[in-house]
Amino acid sequence: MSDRAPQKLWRWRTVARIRRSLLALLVFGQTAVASYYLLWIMPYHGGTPVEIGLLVLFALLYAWIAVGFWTAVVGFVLRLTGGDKHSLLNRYSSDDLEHTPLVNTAIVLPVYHEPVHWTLSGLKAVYHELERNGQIEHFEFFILSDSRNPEIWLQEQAKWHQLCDELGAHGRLFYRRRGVNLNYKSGNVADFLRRWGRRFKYMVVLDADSLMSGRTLVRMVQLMEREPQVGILQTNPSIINGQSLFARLQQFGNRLYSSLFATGLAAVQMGHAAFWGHNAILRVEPFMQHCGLRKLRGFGVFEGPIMSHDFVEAAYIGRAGYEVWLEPGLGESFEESPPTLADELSRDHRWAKGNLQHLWILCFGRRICLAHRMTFLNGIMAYVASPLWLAFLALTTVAAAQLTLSPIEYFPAGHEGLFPLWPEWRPQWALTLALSTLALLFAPKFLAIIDAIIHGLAKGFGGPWRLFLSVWVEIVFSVLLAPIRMLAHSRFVIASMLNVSLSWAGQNRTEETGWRDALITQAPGLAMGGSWAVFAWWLDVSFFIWSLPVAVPLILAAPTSVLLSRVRVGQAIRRAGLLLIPEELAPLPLLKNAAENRAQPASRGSLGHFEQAVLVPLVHQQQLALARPNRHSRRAARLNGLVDQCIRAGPAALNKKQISELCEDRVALAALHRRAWVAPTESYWGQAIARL
Amino acid sequence: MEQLPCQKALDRVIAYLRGSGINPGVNECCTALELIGHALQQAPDGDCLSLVMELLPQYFELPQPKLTLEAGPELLRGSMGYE
Repeated sequence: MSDRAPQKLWRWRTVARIRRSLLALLVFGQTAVASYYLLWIMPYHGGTPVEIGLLVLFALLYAWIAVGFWTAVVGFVLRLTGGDKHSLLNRYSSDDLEHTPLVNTAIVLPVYHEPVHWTLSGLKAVYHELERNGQIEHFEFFILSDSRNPEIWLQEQAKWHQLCDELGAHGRLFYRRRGVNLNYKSGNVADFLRRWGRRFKYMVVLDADSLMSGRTLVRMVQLMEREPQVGILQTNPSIINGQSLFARLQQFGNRLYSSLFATGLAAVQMGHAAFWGHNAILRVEPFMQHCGLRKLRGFGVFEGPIMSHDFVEAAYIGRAGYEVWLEPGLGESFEESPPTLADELSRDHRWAKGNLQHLWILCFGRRICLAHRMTFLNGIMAYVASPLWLAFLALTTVAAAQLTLSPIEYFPAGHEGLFPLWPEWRPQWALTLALSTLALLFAPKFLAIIDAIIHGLAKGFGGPWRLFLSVWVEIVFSVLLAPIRMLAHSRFVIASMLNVSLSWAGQNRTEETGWRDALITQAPGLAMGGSWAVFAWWLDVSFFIWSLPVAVPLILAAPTSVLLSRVRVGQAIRRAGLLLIPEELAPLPLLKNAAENRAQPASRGSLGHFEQAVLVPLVHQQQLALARPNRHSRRAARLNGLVDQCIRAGPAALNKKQISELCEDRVALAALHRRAWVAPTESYWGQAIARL
Repeated sequence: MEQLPCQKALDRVIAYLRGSGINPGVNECCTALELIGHALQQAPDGDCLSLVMELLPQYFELPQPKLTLEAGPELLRGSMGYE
């Protein structure tokens, strides 16, 4: 970091300190006032263990939602005043940036059993973008596969080859498949860096569903060149391509609200932002030097490889003295939402475990700055807030039951003094507190409407009225989804802490949720919500009414889940002009191009990819060129046996690992090709040839 | 009626050509028959398929895929630092 500018560094750190102090003051001040209200709303004013428990949980949850609220307010104010003048992008004029020369940059796409045609068609669109910009010569593309299933990785290789031909990208678009999968996605990227990291100054990491415009990619490299102390520069990806109602709700919410939240977050975090794992550019040399991830040496979930690597990498590069910035102003950076609630929850299951692991680094990580520790805490709270809320509801029920079923305690446990403790009720205060909590949750959504209107963006959402209606639709569904997510996340957190693996139904990424799956998956929530509502009714009518916002969504979880997964419903909503996003009304060339690429037919004939690699001469030649030539005698004998078995009984006689081994070995694959083509007509391979 | 070995061989040759991206016309059919005739003479027991497939590349100019594919550029190894 020879180019470091101490004055600039000092300046943003001071600004960050002031902003964070102000945020802390607002959050904790507001939480203190709200907790004080609660203390006086509770009949014994915190005089019983249940009330103390309620107060502690309330304070934690209230502070958590207050952070979100004030972040959005900061974002709103900054956007109203022309943006954050301390952001990286606002430090330079467009002209300055355009005249910054580019340097060799790798664009890496780690994949693991992703939809091949879809994923690589997106990469093709990104490649086209850089070609259109005339900057392709500064970029090299790497598809980094961790796929194990031969039907998938053979397809990846065939598609890569096709792309190289179509784009004339030989020598610029590369494919590497790891022999051994270690340490998840971070291990995949680390493997790339060990092989080729020293070739590149920067590396842009994409996800399977990422799309980034050439303009943004170029600008990111230019910013990194201008700011040598920046280690990671993260964009704020917008969600696109939502088809199901669920995905459309996510993309609408993300597109509308994230401009406030991301601007606010970037303004508070400044050079201590988080890395989100994709749609970001990394400075390779310090990343390699400082961001190797050791296995955790704790116990249970805190032992073994780090699952959620990105936050940790940001903290480590920060520890080495580099800055991590979130730059929402970059734009033209996209990703996709899971299509169904079940898909989102199965993803959350992994993320919950990964984020909880960060607790170990939060507590024991050395020389990590407070801001990055707060990022860990934020990620942990994203999931731990759910069991806290559940515990809060449970304690509320206990308190209500105590009040209804037990005689009034004038001298509760812990109360000392001659005079009795008279229970008091303050319904007006309770109403005020409830309204303030609702305001924290929902006011940012209405601020986002105002922001869109002020900045002339409402048209992109279908106009002000449709935008307003869409926000209400989004609110209704977010209210319906909140208790379902709360219950699921609580389960994930408990399972992670106990280090047990719980399966969650619905792992598909393309299909809609069926009634059977939905009923089975949501049955525990239905039972819990139903019995809680019945108990509340039996206890007290007003408590029953209070329980409804949680109980009703849990009871309706199955139909909600099915309805949200329906593409037909999503399309009907779109036709009605609701939940629209600007990218749908005026798609960028990047998005049009990606959609056209993806609309092209994907598969070739009726043969599987292994059958093609064995039989189809052109595909076979390609695969042969990528297979390994070397074999030891013991391995050769084993592979010869597998070839015999495969010719005799077809690929069904082999498992996926054995098929992979055959395809990776040049001699075995050539033997398969030769023998399959002379196989009898009635044999498996004879029949496969007939289908060619 | 069971196919004769020479019929099977012709089917395979045609299938192989199609799989190689060649749409067989009159010339290709004549060459295929010539190949099969040659193989039949070499394989007196009538099972000429193996020989036909072995000789096929000598009779036809099969398109070769662009095999300049590089799975990766030249290695420039480095290591990850663990603090």
